[in-house]
Amino acid sequence: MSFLDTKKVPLVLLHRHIAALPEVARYDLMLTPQFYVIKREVLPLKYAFQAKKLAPSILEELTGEGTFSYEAFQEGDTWVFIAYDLPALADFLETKKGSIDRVRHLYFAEQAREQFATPVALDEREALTLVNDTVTVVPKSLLQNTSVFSPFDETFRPQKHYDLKRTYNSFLDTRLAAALAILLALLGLTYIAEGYRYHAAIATAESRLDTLLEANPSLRGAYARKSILKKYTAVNTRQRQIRDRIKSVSHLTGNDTQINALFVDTKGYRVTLSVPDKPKTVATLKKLAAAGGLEHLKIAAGKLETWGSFQ
Amino acid sequence: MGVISMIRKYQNEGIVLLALLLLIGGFLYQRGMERKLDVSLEQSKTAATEITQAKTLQKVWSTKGLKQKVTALQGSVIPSKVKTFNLAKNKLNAHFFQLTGKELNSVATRIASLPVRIQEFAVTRMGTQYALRCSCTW
Repeated sequence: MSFLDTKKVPLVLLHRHIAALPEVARYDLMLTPQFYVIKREVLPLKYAFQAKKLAPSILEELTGEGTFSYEAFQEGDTWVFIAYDLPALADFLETKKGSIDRVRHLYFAEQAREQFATPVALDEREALTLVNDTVTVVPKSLLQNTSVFSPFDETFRPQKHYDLKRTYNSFLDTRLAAALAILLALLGLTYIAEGYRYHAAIATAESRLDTLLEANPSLRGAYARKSILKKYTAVNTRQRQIRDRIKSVSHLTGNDTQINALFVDTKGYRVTLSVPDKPKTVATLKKLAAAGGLEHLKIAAGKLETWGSFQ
Repeated sequence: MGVISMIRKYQNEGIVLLALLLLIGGFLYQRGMERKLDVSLEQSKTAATEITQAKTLQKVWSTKGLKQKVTALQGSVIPSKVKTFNLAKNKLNAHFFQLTGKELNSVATRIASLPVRIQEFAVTRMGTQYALRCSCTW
């Protein structure tokens, strides 16, 4: 796809005295040595990324203050190390009514070294040509034949381009940001997965409840259920109390103890029994009455009285 | 161009911010679903308990065929010992007398075992015999 874009995006040779940048949405920049420092080293490296890692230490003496970006490319056995100050470049483009965001690809004049064998005029005073086999900005006055200048055109466009690290102003390093984003996103996805699991569990619970309600259509409404429960619970409780009291009293009766009178209604009970005056029997009756939950108990003169109310 | 430029410059922070939003969104979704599940389970549990209880109570206090069972009470003692046995649509007023201790036990046990609502239950001793008065509804 890039070869199609190449036709549309102009290649601009950027130098300090450039009059103006083209007023187009995107352009490619070829930097003159005014914007980068360069060093050649013969190193037994195989890959460009290895060279790029070494670039800061190799160019340490040449780079001054600034936030430098580094690139490296190979020329035979020699590695070419380049450092450029991206924030400074961005500032410069702003002064020329341009913007770093309009830059699509970045090239270095050194990449098109052979084309610069014939000088290229930058402005009225300066030109770009080879000095000691390195592309250098020189005053035109130093050139022997000042009338022969090569025009700068698409033939200067090197095959390899570099992309700008646009995030140079970021507080976060790209790798750190990616790692952090992946970690956070994974955690977020874990929460979502767990939430979805709960969502499925809710659907199952609702389905079970629906099945239960379908089996009992008369109890579908919560109000109806509560109303039925309230009605039957009250009846159940009271009737069990009545039956429990009758049962408790029946446990007190025997050969020596007989019911004189028993009265139970929905409010309470009152029972009178005739009992023998035997301390042992009285003690047993007291125990049985306590076990049967009979509230008030009075035993005197061969008579047992017990009474109470239902709560 | 300004906004796009800004976005490009701070795209790292933007990506982390988006991931953070995903995390927060996921967390809120998970918590929301957890709460909803708790409520749903509680509702299901309550409804299931209520339905079971209501069905059990309805079954216990069911009036189906009850009138026949109540009528059968009359035959539990000899007719001469039944003073009154007024059986209405859903109400009984019965009065038994001259019951022996054994008969009293038998009648009382039968009444207590029926799913009727005892309104009044009274026993009085007269010498060696007993009178039983019972009023119940259903």
